[in-house]
Amino acid sequence: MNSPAHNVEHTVDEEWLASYVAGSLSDAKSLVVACQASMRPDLARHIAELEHVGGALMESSSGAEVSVEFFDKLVGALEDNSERDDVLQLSEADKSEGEVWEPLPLRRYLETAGAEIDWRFAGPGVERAPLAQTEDGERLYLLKARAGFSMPIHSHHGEEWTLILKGSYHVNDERFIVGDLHREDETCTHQPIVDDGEECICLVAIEGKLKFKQTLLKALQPLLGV
Amino acid sequence: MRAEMLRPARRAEPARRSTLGLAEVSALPGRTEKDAELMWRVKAERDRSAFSELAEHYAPRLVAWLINRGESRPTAEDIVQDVLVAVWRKASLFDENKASFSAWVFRATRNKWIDHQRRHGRVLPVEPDLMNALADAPQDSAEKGVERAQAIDALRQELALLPPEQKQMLFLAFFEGLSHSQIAARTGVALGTVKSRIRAPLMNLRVKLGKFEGAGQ
Repeated sequence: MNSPAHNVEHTVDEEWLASYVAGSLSDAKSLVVACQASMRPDLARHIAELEHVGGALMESSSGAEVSVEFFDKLVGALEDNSERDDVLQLSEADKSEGEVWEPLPLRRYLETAGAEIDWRFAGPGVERAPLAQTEDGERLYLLKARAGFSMPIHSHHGEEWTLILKGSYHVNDERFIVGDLHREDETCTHQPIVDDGEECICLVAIEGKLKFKQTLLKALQPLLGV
Repeated sequence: MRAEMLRPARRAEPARRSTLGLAEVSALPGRTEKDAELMWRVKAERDRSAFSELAEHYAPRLVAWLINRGESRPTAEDIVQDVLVAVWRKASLFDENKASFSAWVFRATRNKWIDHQRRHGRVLPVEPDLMNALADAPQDSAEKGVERAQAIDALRQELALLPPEQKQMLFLAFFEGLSHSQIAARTGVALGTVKSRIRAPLMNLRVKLGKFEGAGQ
């Protein structure tokens, strides 16, 4: 087999990006895309192009009737200098640099949620820091694995989006590096292996639990939180 | 300023579900230039009549978008008010060479909406800063900025020239945020046709923008 190669810059396709632009992407996936855009200028540029499509469609769409009071209240808000406006303040996340591998949207998320990254043991050589879980079962977490770590073979119950924040891994002959977004769904069974030389940290948005092939891992799944 | 300056002379049409009046979905000719001039007046002269012109055009449309996303009218109006106040206060951040005003305010409204959902426990926080977000889009020189503005203009012209059925698909995908499957279900058009009607114009737009941006390099 050839050495794993990084031949394409991985991201999600246009349909997902359209959902992101329109605000329809799920919460966890929105954060993943926002993080990737902060790491990849080409993606940020592409999203900006798509937002121009959305903006042009909006400017020429039909408007809704607004209430009689709306414009009076707007004038009042403009003139109310005493009103506290968070928008004008740089957040702590914007002022601090955080960890080198932490993209700004993730730092903002942590600050706004009042959360800290809490690494927990998730098996030999791997740690997991849960960030959020929604009512419909979508989870967002950080995963940190040592160099050379081999994930157990697994598939999924739904979408799994993995953004590489530090290090790299490969799946068969395909390599994923910092800034890549690796998307899998329930049709995929795979075994990512962290490349030698550096630990790998990923931001993961996943619908449902992983499906492991090994019986022991299935039994340990509730303890490991994956 | 008197409140009357912000009140539209004629109220916009009530929002309709967008199985469209397709005339609604083309970019408005000259709107980008007009908005840029109005924003220049807001930035340079703190001109409230210019601001009121922007508010009169965009507030009803942004409220409609939020109502389409499932928000009540009062909540939608509160969100749009916050966005427009931010437009006034952070007008200096607007750069017409980076973005059209419609794209800028559309993005700000989406981000504010996500922020609103987070504050009400419905969603994760994503981008709390409303107006800086477009500044994240890369731009490394004034020359490139001008190219960018020209590319935006080219994109809008391309959009205006698209056949109605392609505009409809883009509207449902980029404005209403429907997935391809949902668009197929809504319109009765086969899924494969939906995909091609969205992909083809986007590819075309990207190729033309790519050529445009590459021309100055």
